[in-house]
Amino acid sequence: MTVQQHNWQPDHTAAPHTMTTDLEQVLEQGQVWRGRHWQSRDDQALSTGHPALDTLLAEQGWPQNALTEILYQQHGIGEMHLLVPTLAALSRQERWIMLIAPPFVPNAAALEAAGVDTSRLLVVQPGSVRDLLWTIEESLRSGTCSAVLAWPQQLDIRTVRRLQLAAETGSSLGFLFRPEQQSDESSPAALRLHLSAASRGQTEVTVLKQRGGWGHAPAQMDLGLGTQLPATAPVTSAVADVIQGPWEPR
Amino acid sequence: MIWLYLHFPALQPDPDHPGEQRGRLLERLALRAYRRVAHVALQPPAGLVLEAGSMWRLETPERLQQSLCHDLQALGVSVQASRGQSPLAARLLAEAGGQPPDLTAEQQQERLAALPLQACGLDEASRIALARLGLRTCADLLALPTAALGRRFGTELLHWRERLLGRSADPQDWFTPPAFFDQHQELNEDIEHLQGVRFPLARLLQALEDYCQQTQQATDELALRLHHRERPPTDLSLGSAVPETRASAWEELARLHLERVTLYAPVTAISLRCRCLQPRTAQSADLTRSAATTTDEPHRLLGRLQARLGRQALYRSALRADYRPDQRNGWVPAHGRSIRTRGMTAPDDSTGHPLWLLAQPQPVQRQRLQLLSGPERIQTGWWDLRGIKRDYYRARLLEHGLAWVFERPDGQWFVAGYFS
Repeated sequence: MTVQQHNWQPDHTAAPHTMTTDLEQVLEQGQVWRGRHWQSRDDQALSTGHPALDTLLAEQGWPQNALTEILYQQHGIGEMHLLVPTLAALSRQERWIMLIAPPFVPNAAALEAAGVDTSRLLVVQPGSVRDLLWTIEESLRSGTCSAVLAWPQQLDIRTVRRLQLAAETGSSLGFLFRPEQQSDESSPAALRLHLSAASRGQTEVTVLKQRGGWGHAPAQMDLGLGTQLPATAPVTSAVADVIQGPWEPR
Repeated sequence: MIWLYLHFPALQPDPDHPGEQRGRLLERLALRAYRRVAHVALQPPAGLVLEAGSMWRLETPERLQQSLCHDLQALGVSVQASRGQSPLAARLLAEAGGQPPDLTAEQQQERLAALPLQACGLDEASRIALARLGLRTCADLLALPTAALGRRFGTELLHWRERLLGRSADPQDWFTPPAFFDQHQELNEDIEHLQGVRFPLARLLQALEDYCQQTQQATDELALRLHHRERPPTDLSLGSAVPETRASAWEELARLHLERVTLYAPVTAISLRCRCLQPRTAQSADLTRSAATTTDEPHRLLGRLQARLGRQALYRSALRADYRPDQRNGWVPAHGRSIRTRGMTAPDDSTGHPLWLLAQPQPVQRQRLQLLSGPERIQTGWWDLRGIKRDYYRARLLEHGLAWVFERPDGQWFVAGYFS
């Protein structure tokens, strides 16, 4: 049940005075759940850039100032393409985008071609797990990072809670990439997504948990892994051999 | 002219301790006094003489004396201060115990006249001669006619009296702040834990802040040296991403840096040196935004991360105009404000390229690849020794998803990156 907001002024001549006080008493006692608690959050959510994903999310975008966990089967499932529109939008800000312990070397040229201003990117390769966690927390808390993307090996629930608090303090978007084996552990992150491969180069996105909303049935979306494939049959090895011209110095 | 003399009883020569350190201390005090007065001269071993008259429009000599005493006492030294009509008069009054700042000129004269001659720093022969003549106080000396004094004691005492009265010039060797910062601090006891270094270091950093404040300079690099008894000193280089003056910011950077250091011997002394100073640029903060969003803040984070992780752990993109994917995609250690010039952009043909690259292409067997699209031939770089001749394909790699592979002329296949 939702109750009208404060801007609705009861008409005292029509409504008996006693009724208002009863209502206030009930509200004070906290017996009524007021739906505005999450609906009236005034910070504008940042669109993910994928309309199909936005519709799944309670805030129509990434939860602001919070931690998002992305659990995935393996590298190369579309986890970076999921974030590229977000990074492109955030790189317009005068703040850093941190990539902490990425598994491979980010291709700055391809990111630039996708609209990301790479001069805002900072790649950090900490030497130890302790330094890694420290770096994530420090970056989230500092308020000078618009987004922090991190690939930690192991995380316990207390650490995730700390990082969540740090993201709130620094009004930053935190993205933790974790292997899907860790999806069974509970986590205080505001949003948990699970990515897995579907047929025809599509990626299946499942909302495991989100703040202020419900989990959803898996949705299939195209995260750029299928678009550039030719519509015809894949190049066979025979065709590849034909294309391979005679190289001069053999 | 009005002169001010500051006497530091604690700096009086003490045979138990080396004098060199005290000289440095006096310099530090002079540096502090220099913040308020343009003309400061060192009077070793234990005094500073300042010319207060020229600062009149900023502060009256009385106020100046008060604020100087306040400044220097905040450094933890006791001060005896006095004003006078000549440097010598001010010095004698200060060494005799100092005078309260609100004394009038006449009262000063009275006090000076009452000073015993034996305590006035005259040489032995003059003192004996004066005592034999029955002259006890300055007043007695000042009352003598000039000609008679000259005849009896020679010109030296005559000059001394003229200088005392401010009638003859008493040139001073004015202090100028050193061109760079270099300070040394002996520790009272050997320090075995780096935690213990932080407090003496904080004092040096405070001195650095004072120095930078006076000279309106800032620095982004400090050399910290930890001296040991029987080992070569440990040298640390502290860096900041932006030119910094505040001691608190340096302290934090130093703390992060020291966490990474292993100490092999106790520390007996530390010294802090800074040779590359640059003019300080004023920062204007936005009135309506919070303090965290000033333009320097992002660089401060960079500095903190560098201090803890080392300079080789942070990278920024340095795109080069090159068609070779591994040459174009350069990542360089992030140093300070070195922001890439935006004029030179890479050729814009990376749209179909993957987001992840391997640091080194990995050889792969042809059988494991299922080619999906391609080839894109990249043949360039013949002008340097790293020329390439490659045919790039999108391929499905068993158990690894979508990969970016290439074939070399010799038929060898490599994985260059992964689509993600």
